[in-house]
Amino acid sequence: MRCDEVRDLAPELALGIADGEQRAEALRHLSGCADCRRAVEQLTQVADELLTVAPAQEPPAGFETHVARAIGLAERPARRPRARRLRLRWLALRVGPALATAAVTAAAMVGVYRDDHQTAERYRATLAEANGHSFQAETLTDGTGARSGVAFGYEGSPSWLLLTVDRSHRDAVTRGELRTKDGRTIPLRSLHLDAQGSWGGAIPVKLYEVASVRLLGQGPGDVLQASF
Amino acid sequence: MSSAVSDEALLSGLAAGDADAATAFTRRFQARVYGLVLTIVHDEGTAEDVAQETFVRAWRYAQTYDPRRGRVATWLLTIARNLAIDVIRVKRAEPLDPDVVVRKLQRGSQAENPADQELPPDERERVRGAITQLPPEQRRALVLAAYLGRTAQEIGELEGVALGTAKTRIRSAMLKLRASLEATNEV
Repeated sequence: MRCDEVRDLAPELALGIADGEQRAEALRHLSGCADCRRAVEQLTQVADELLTVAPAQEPPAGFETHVARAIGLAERPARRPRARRLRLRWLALRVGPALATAAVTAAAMVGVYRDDHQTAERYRATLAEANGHSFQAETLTDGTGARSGVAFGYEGSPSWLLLTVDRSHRDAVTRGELRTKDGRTIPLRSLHLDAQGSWGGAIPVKLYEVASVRLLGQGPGDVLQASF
Repeated sequence: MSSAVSDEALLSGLAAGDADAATAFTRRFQARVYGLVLTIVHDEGTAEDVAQETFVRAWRYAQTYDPRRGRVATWLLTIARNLAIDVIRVKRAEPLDPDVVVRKLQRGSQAENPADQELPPDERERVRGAITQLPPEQRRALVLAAYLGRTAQEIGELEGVALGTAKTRIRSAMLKLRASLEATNEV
């Protein structure tokens, strides 16, 4: 990429919206061209200032406590987190390493974490491949609230579930069912945990209609549940 | 912890797992992070989650912060902005009208505290004013790019113009803002 091409692209580089290929080419050029690097840095300062003029607003009460808990500097609550929060953490956990790698590269010229954008694009492309709308994971808990596995849900055509049950609980599971948000109970007739405690299959409703998935055993207390 | 403690020192404390530093760091930046995220995602519940995740990322990647590349505040706000953009992309949300964002920027903030902002109030007003003075099509392109993470291609499609036109609008807006900020600094 030549200097004039990099200068043309500089505003998009500074704003973090240049596409991956162009960006990579520009970064290669910038590593050896101080003038272009300075031009991009000036525009990056403009992009940074734009973020600082967004109106500040205090978050809801308890925010700092939630942050402290999330980073392990405060006692965790007994109650399970809201599903929305869990989903975000799940996504962060799985894309985190890729993000970190990409971000360190990006930081070399125009700031940290700009490649988050590409990660979102890849996630969208993955969903689009199978006409999906979302993918989420929820913790399966037993009657005491203890973690007993994970329920992964995919919303698409069809929607499907993948369940993994911890070793200590898998022998007790004999059947499963979905509870929908409009109050229906739908048996998971094909449910059969394999030797690793996993089962996956299509479900006859949209994932967004599902309120919870329940795995049941012989006894009345043998219930593992994940709420969506 | 006193406000005299530098942003960098608080970030180091956060990275080291110092609970007091973490609390002070969060208190210092939470209004700006939450305000920015709310401007982008336009939903309070989602904004709270994204803002929280921003601080988790800051804690996790604090070691990568390099003061030579910018202030702690802009590093943190860039993380917040990118996380928020990821969320609206993953949700496939309809793009927010950039004029709505501009109006939010113009309103400023009830929570703004001049003592804990990077730019003095008059300078923030100058930046806001410079955004307002852009021709509408450039202002929309800038907001779509800077706050909503839209690429030039997407902006062209959203605005019904050619890719080259979208790129020119982004470029012109950025150069005007740069000139405006330089003029401010020379005063």
